[in-house]
Amino acid sequence: MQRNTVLGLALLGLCLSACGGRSAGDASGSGQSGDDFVVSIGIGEPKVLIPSGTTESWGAEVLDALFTNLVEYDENFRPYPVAAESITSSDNKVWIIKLRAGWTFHNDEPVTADSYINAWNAGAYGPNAHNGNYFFDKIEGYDALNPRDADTAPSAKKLVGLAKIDDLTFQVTLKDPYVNFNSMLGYTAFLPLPLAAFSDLANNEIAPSYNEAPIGQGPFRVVGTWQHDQLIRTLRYEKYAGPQKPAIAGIDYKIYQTLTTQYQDLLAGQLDIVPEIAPENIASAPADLGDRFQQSPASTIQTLAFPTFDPRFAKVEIRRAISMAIDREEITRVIFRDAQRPLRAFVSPLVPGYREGICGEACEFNPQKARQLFEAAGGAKAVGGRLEIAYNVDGGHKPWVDATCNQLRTNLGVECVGNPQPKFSELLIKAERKEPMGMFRMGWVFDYPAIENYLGPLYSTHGSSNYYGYSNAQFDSLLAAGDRAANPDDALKLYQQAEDLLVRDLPVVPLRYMLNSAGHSTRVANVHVDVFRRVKVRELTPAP
Amino acid sequence: MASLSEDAWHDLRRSPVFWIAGLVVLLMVLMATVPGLFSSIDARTATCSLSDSLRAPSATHWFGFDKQGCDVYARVIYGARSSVLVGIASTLIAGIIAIAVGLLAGYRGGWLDALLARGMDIFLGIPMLLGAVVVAKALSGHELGIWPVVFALGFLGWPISARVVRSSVISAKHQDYVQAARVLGASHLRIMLRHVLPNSLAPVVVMLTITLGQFISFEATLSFLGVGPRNTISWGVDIAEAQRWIREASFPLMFPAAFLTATVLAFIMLGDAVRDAFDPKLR
Amino acid sequence: MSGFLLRRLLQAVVTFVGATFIVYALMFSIAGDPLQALAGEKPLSDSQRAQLTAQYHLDEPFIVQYGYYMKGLVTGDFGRAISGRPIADILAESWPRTIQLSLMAVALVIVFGIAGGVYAALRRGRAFDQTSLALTLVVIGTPVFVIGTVFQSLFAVELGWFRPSYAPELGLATYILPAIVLGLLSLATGMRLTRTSVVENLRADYVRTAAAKGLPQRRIVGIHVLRNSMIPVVTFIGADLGALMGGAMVTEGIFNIPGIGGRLFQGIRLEDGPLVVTIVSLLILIYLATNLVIDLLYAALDPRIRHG
Repeated sequence: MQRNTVLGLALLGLCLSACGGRSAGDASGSGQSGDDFVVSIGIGEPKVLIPSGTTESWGAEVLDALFTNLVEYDENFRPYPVAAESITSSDNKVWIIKLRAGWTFHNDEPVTADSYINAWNAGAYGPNAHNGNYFFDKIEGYDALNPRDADTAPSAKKLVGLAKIDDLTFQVTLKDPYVNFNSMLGYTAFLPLPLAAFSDLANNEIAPSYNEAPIGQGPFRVVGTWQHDQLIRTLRYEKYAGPQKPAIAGIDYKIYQTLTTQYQDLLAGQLDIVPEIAPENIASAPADLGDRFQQSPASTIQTLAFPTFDPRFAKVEIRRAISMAIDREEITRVIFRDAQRPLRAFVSPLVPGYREGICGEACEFNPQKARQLFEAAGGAKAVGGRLEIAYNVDGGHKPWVDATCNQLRTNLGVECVGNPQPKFSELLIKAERKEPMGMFRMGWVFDYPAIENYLGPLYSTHGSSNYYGYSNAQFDSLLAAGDRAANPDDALKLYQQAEDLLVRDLPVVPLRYMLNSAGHSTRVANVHVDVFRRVKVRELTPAP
Repeated sequence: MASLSEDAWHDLRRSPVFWIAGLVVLLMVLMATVPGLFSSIDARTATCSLSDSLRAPSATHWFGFDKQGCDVYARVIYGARSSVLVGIASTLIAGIIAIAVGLLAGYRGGWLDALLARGMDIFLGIPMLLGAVVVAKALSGHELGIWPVVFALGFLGWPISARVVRSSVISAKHQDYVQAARVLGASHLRIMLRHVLPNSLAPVVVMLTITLGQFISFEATLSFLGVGPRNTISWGVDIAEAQRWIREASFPLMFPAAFLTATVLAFIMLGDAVRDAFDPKLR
Repeated sequence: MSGFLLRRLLQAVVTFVGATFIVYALMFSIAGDPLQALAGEKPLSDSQRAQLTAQYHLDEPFIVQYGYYMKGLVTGDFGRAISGRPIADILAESWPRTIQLSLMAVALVIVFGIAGGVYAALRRGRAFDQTSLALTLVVIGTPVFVIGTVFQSLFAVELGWFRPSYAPELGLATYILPAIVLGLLSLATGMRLTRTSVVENLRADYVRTAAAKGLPQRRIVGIHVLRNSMIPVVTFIGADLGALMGGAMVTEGIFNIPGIGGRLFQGIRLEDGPLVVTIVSLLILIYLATNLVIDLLYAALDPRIRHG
């Protein structure tokens, strides 16, 4: 009996497959007019959909459609106000943010200064443990909301640095002057929240249900709830007050476990936009997709980091020799098919203040000189007879790590092996605990387009992501001086001087910067991907 | 007993399957022990250059080059050691545990059976992947190459075989000759080893040769999931790596995969042939 | 018979507690820093770390954490995954998908594995036997992820017979290709086992006796041989159901099915103790239930095996 049932189910399944249509058009509206034209975009499962809890890019991708930021960036990465009317400061310490009138959340609640103040308080409130918490640490009163010990209750529930002036204006007081604070405001963590998001406003408590169906003030609104690991369905928000109304009816964010599957679905006509094509598919993508394959700048840079506290890598000559023994061109060409390019600076080519080739000779491939330097500094014996490059296995780094090791083996005459770690976080913990693991890969994506976002967190003595034990008082004071500078241009000069110190000290060696590779179906046009790898959803149109 | 193995050998000598499978297994074992006989390039120390990346097979490099520009032929030859070792060592561990547990549980029955059956249930429920991650983590920091994989597979891969042993032991112990031996006063140990075990081995030998194949390919799956052996050349590692670039070139995948499949095939056919020869029911 | 059932239920409780304990201990032993794993590649602030540590009892000793977990389980509260979602919700939405996938795979094994095995045994040495033998060997010898990705590229992307990934709007049909990939190895193994078993039974005395008594071949094979050959095969399929669901980890990953396998893999990667333990416990429960059914089937297949 049971067998018959199962067999029946199997047969039924076969029939369904034979009878069912299989074009993307069937699934999401067959018309080509904008009014019922729904676009599907491939993403990975977001971790959280609360703005101040989202620091990973898939969540940010979705929130970008549900919300509109205070500022966006022009082609030179200067911020310009969007949801804000103006953002001004006379001393870079007290900032006045004036909002545009007429904006509403998807539940018809008006967007006011309080929407921002409430959201930022919740994000900064330690017990909420939001991942974007650290973004608020520049604001006065942050420390009172974030006791170091979990058993201690925070001494305050609201940031004293936030003050409402009128319904559409509020004032932010920073602990110290920071010249690029307006640039930071383009980050997801600084989005507003409606009152409906809170279950207990006084205690900064966000209702768990909000995460399942976030309400924003952006061009698209969530339909139903987040279908975990499967789908987030959105439709155009008709009362959207932003500068550009969407030309499409909605977006289906289809959630995938791997990038490769997204690409397969794109090829099979089941998905409209793949915002990021995996390296292993890039070689065939131009042939598969033609002009529907596109590459655009991205902010990710990859470096090879040294545990400078480890005596094997304490000598800068060793680090220099290793850098010069790496043929960056060959790796980017063969392994990455030019979707990543050689990097010879410590910041992304995207940010204002980037200087091409600032790394100089140290980042040029020169096997003879590298070998000489290496031998002069003690050779293979000095590095313990063997080099190791630690990397996380879940990030697709094995091919370039193996290739880099092969180059070091050939050019320096020293044994070199990859040291796979299950996750990047584990690698970082080992580095932080100064456990021996050899060199390790580092990557950085900017939170907001500013040169210091590549310098401060990574190389200042107390930087949140300084895992190399690099400590240089001069570097620290140059950065601090830059933060306090009167205008962005003066700040830039100081930041660049700090970068010059990195060229001398080489706590890491730059390897590559990334281009983002995206692909789309024939149904959709005007597909553009920004530097955060977010599809510019307001610009999408049906294909002509 | 002597006459049985003589008869079996007599049978085996006339079986072409035995000779072919045996030869392949021998070849793979030889490859695993002295790879230098087969390849002038030592894949462990060879320098690979990206300028050779994915170069097609040629007269001098029969299997071409992989993505890293390493000679695929040399890697296949040198990869035999890990894969053959994984297969044999983990099957041995799993087989010994399976036979011991299955025999005891099936023959003794009662509370011991219940206890061992609970043990089997527990181990069956633990995903191999979890075991592999745990073992790999516990042993991380040590350069153990293939061994974490061997232990993970061996210590988690036995319950299915144990159940097969148990059920054939249960069938066997109801047979007349076992009852007869018991009546004649043979000790339990003697009955288990001389009468029950030989007559219940056939299904588990088939099971274990299949298991051996599964273990060899499971090593590849573990590599695919990112918890395979480290800094070791093995077919599994190479297949998992080549699979990424399948849309660019398929030969770096096909050659190690073909060797893997051939090895698995040879072991299973060998198991079949030996079992046929030893099967007392044939006589 | 009710005594038998009662005993089995008690045994199931023992197994269940033992398994959760072992898996919990394993997860505990590998836990590096689940909080950082959750935060990903961004830094965690001190206060955030302190909060989460207290929330998930991460600073308590192992046995206390296990106690918290079991207490929750007994009171019907599966707790929250490290991502903050209630585990009960995660299970409720992903479990049915894996069940459907596995049942379809088992159906394939039963239908094609047993039928193929019997046919091969009856036609021993003929073309079908040889070809199927070779094919099953190739399947057993090829890693499942290779089969999965090749089938996906070939049948879904190139030929367009199936969708490359999970498409809920297709209903059960969306599981066909993944079920074939998932069940192929078991199918091959089951088929070989059936063939071996049937061949052995065909040589048994009772077959000769039956033939001597003039029973028709069809009846001998259809009733006696088949019934006697099924014990090892049924054992295998029962034991394999758990393995199938575990194997769903790879298959679900390739075909993007948001089922239990994917959650389990993710849980292991994120060192999400409660999630992994809950999923594994449920896998064990299913396995125990299947095996109870199979033990009852034994009695039906072989009258000499009696449950008292």
